[in-house]
Amino acid sequence: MMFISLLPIVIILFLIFVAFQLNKVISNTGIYERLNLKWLLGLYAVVLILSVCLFYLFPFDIGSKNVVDNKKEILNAQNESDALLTAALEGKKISEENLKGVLTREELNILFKHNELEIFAEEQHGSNIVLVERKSTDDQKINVTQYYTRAILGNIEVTEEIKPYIIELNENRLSIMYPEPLDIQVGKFAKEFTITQFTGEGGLFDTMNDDFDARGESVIYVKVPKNVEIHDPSESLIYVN
Amino acid sequence: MFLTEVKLWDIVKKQTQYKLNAYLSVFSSLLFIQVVGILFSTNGSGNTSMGFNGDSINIRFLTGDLIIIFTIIWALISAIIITTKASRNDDFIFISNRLSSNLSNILFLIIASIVGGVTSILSGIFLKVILLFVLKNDYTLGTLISFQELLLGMFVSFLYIILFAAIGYFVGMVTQISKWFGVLIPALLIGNSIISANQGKEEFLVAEVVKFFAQESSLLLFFAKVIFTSSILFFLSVILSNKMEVRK
Repeated sequence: MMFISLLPIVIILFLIFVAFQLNKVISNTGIYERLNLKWLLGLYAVVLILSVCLFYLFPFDIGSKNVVDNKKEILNAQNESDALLTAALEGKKISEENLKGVLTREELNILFKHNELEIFAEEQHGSNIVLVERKSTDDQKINVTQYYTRAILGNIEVTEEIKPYIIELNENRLSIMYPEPLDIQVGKFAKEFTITQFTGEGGLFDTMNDDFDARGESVIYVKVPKNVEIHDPSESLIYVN
Repeated sequence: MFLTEVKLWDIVKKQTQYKLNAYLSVFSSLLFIQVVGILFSTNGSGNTSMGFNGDSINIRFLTGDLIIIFTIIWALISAIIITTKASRNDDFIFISNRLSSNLSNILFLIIASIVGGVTSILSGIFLKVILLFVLKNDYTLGTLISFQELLLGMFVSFLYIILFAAIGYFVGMVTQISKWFGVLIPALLIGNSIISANQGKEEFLVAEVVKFFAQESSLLLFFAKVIFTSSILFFLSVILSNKMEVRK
């Protein structure tokens, strides 16, 4: 364990050693003399000074509009997510629960004329939460609604980035599949440790752990006609009370 | 009785000036190492990823920390290099003694550390400017540093660099007395780490020393700690240097 923690130091020392050796090799070739080392160092200094001028004069906007850094707001979003999950696991009618912060995607109305329905919920990334309600009428329609809550990850609101579940009906098989996975790249500017040590702000490693997340929850609500027999091969469906 | 009385300070000044010109390779290696540091930092000084239901979010932390760490190690190695016999012999171009030679070395290291401290922070800014122009992230966030923080960063970086330069100078001087110390010192540090780990202790000597400085949140106390430690190390180095045999 200790050796693993020392590994970055060893790698850095090795890199610096290589850099010193490379510098020596370059120096021996006489490139520095030809380039005039003093000019080279001067040029480096000018580039650094110019970058500072640019840094303070250019109006860089690094604050993405989707940033949520209010911890209370993130905790609220997480509570809303937990409330949706609890209601779903208890087999409640989501639309009648008046849950705060629960968003709804457009309802799918699928024509269905069979007597039996197999509901397949993909379980690649853990259980999908699928609630099934039997309607009081036999209207030959399956209604699918997706309820979801806000997702805030690493201080970024990604709710709108998350795509809806893929719902497909083939004959008498209703498949509920995960959407295309997201791969979000975030660049987070942090202050150097020689600054944060005295400003009371968290350094890089604190910054890496100080994010509160609201993971967001999704629930698929399926209404089936009165007389349709339901098959559940994954045995994961939750029936509404 | 000499025809010309030479003052110690004049010799030190001349030797330092000579070293600033003669040891330009020290500064070229600084440039080289900082450019390497910038290149390594473009991909972020740290990464954190999280996944949820197959989705993933990857956060890259963009800071100049790595450049500062590279510069600190550069100071350590450069200080060791200037204690080598070849470098020490350069001092005899001038009328000098061990004291003037050491003082000029220390003065050179202080100047080099100031350059290192200033350029390491400025390189961090340079890195951020590059990233702000070329960044291809979906989102960017965080805060940019103010001008006061920039000055603070330079000063603190200088203190870290001079501390490691003092350690390097001391280690270099000890190693000049006997080459065995070159093996003994790393062996002691690594041995201590292994023994501490075997005894189930999380902390070992190096970690304790790092904590002593890195966890100090008062700038004044940090300054005092660094100056006191560096002075002791330089003082011991001068004493050790006087114990060395006279140049043949």
